[in-house]
Amino acid sequence: MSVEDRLRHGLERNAISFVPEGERRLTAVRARQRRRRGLQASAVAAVATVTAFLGLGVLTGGDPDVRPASPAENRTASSTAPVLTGEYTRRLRDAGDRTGRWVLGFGAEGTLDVTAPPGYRGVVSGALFTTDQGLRTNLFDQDLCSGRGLGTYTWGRSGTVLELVVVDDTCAARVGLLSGGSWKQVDPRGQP
Amino acid sequence: MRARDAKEYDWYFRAIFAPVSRTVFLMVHDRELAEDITQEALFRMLKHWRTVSTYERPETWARRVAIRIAVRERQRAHVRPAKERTASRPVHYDDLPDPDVARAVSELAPMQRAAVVLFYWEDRPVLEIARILEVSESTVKQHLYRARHRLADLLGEGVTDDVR
Repeated sequence: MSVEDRLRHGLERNAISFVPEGERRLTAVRARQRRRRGLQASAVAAVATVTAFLGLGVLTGGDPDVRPASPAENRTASSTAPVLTGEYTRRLRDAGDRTGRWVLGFGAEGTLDVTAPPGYRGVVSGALFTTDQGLRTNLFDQDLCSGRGLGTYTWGRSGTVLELVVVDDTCAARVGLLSGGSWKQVDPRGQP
Repeated sequence: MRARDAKEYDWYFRAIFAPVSRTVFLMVHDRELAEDITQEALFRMLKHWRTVSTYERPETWARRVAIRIAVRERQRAHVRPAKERTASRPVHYDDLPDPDVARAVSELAPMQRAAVVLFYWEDRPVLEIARILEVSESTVKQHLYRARHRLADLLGEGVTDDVR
């Protein structure tokens, strides 16, 4: 075996063995951002207090019509839950090691959880962002779709059947899986 | 940050975190450190979200930042006094599926490690690696050439020329 093949194979095996804890880290990033904002707000409040104490507002002729935004005005619009949730399944035939039952789990936070057939040996990774109009995903970006960027799709549901239609995706494997046929909703009580 | 922006950021975080962490892990061989570095890169992305979100591929920005942090971390570790190095977290190579490759890669200089991981794991072309590492294409080729010969020695394998 050449050193190049040995490296490719070894790096892939070592990389796949590592399963990072993304959600815990996202929570940490959000907490750090809140702390940072809190510190910024404290600093602004401190400067304002000092300024008021020194009477600089009067000396510089502050505009009485300019008032700080109230908390209500700073409030952002509440997020709407993704419309696409639940589990959908589809069976691929004659597709090499991708042959078998695939399950797409659309999470409440807009995440995509993909379950591959037992024979599939590749890396299943994917994230999803759903809107009223469509979804965007990087599924297979460490394997079949490496270097192909994101794929965007529109979706439509009729009863328990989900159809994904490709809008822009240069990865044929992802297009084949997602939009090559209908997805049937998984009955929460068992099989579809 | 508006709710829509926050949701968009969260999406990118979820899309990027695992792949970038894995790449960083192959460079630092420490799971916790790999996640710390990726988290730091993604926090910086959040700080600059207003600008980064307008880029065509925000994930590329975050990946570049994470890899540069990892390279700097390895460079700093390299010059740390020996006592300090032994006091830091030990690397358990034998826990990995291919400990020989991990050990061999850890023998490389930080920039060579980065070039090897980006070329052989992420399958990035030399030009892109040069942009990520902020060096010229010929420097990347040189890193890969030297790394390949060193790794061939360490792993007892042959070398072919496959640099694009």
